[in-house]
Amino acid sequence: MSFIANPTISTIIPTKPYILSIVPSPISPHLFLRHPSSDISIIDSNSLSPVGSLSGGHGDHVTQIVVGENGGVWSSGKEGGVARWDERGRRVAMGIKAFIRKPLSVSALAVAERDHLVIGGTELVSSEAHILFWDTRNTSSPIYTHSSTHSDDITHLSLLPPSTTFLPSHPSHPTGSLPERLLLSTSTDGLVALTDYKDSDEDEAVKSFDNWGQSFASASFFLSTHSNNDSNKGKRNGEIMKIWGRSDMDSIALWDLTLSEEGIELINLIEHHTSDLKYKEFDLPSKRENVVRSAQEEIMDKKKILKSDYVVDVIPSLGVSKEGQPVCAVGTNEGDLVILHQPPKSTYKPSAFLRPLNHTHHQDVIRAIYHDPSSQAIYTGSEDGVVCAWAMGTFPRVRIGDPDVDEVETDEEEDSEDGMDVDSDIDDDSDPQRPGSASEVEEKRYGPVLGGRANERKERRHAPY
Amino acid sequence: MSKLQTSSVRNSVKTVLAQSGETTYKEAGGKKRNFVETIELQIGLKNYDPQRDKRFSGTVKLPHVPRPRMALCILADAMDVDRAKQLDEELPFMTVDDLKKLNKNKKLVKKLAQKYDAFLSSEALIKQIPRLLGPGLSKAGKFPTPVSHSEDLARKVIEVRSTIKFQLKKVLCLGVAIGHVNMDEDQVMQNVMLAINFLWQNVGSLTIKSSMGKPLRLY
Repeated sequence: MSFIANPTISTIIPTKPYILSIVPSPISPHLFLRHPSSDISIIDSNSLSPVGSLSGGHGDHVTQIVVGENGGVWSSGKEGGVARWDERGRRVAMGIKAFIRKPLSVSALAVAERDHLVIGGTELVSSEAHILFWDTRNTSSPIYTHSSTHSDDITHLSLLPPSTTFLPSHPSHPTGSLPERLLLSTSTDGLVALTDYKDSDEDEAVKSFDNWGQSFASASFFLSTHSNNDSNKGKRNGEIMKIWGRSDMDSIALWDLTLSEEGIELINLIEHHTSDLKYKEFDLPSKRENVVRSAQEEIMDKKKILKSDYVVDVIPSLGVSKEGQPVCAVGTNEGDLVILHQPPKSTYKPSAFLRPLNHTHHQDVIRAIYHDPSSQAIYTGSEDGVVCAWAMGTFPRVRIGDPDVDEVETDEEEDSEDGMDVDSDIDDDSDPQRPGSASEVEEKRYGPVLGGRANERKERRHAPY
Repeated sequence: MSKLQTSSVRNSVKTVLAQSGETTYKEAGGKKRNFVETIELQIGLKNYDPQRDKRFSGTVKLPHVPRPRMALCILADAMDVDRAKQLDEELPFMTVDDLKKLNKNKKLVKKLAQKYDAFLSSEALIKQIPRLLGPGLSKAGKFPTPVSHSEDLARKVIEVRSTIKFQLKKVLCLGVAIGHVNMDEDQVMQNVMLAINFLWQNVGSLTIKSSMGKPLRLY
């Protein structure tokens, strides 16, 4: 069922440990790394080698990196600033100050370039947590602010795709009466809100709230053909917009976004509790006896169980189960990663164990994961400053909890295992003990190449749905 | 949990209770107060860097209610109005019509928010709150907790009253109320142990005290 994989390539960024997020560049095959630092590192997505940095834009830690729909690279800083970057020139193209009586730490950022809007969420200062809206053509002061939506640090902001693409028409809401686009916001106060971000009147702008009661660490949206509620099954054609949230206590919540007579609603809350995800033991799949193993692997094999210490992230791009539950990843303090899926009528089960082999791989808490669907690669970053890349073509397909997809995969898996030994091939590829293994990795890799062409990615981002 | 001796915690809890007890305060060296003192834990954290590490924030449901006098109100539909009236201790409620009367008036919503410590709301009604009240309740940090008709209302009230919140910002210490001096020793013990368990890995120091009493170091 599940399998073990090792990193395809890895790199260490010794000067800037603590990789907190990995964001792809819109114009080049590069990745931006965010650290608890005022600088952003840039690495090549194929070789992972450092190619430069974006610096001079912030006076304190960068809190978020966002790419706008027109390809602008934006970042927010703890000192109270937002910067747009000239990626080619590696310099600041525009700087915005978040200032209401005093500088406000910007903890979340969203950009609506087509509407000429930059939206920043602040930390709680003087009992107020603001959502600030700037016009990119005149950024001297926000054109309006929403200060009542949340009562604590704002931890996530993002824009949903145009509502006409995912909301079915409803008799009580004629076309045009709904906001075209919604802003998703979450906060430490435990609330998730959907706002019409073009409405400057906050009393009218907030369309929907839900109280999870747990502080949000992060959130985002995804599309699924499956509702959280069984009774809706089969009634609807097409896809349902869903929201996921991840708490500071390592639990996950999921909502369906629907339209009723009351308007836009977040319904069918499903929670995956801390106990389902954290301090949970996962049995490692046993390898067959005839497989040749390195000494390190022998040692690791003796420990048959992995115990998760935290949730890394929710990754719907890897897949969504039959019951509408997205794939997620948990990690250990030693740098192991477990990709989880939810089989029908079950709790989360392991799909894949992504494990370090030696000291050049993760040895510490993994804080960032980014899945690039176009190049079939997973990138991970840890607190010891290591970035690992995992070419998904080199391992069996990841189970996602949807029998329609997984069953097909099982056949393939068996076929390929009959023909050749997949496991041992991976081990050879990434075995760092062998001289010259780096060049062999490049040649022998039979899956899609890491990285992928930049213009392909750009297209995807322009029309993600 | 190996480093923390249950017996020594129990002794400290005994002392805290004795110092504030009706009949025992004189011998224990405490003083009589004219209110029910709260017992709180003060926690110093280690191995944690607020600049870099994940945010530290969470809620824990304690086995015994630490804040029995917490004022609750339910924003109720017709069925929940009946249920609220039937509780042993009647739960204050507001109906849709009551909320409509506030007319999204900021001052009135704020007044409502200040009147109670927390709100519950019928599931059917909670979706309408942004439309009825605007963001006033969320600004006050008192957006209601949803209650469905299938949930036992009395149990939900207890759950809200016994849930405590840990939050850490910028500094490495935090305090949290875990009980009051009218609780018995075992109840305080169970609350203390559950709260500590939640963040044991990062506990550097641990102190227990009542509102006016002397602090006692546990760890």
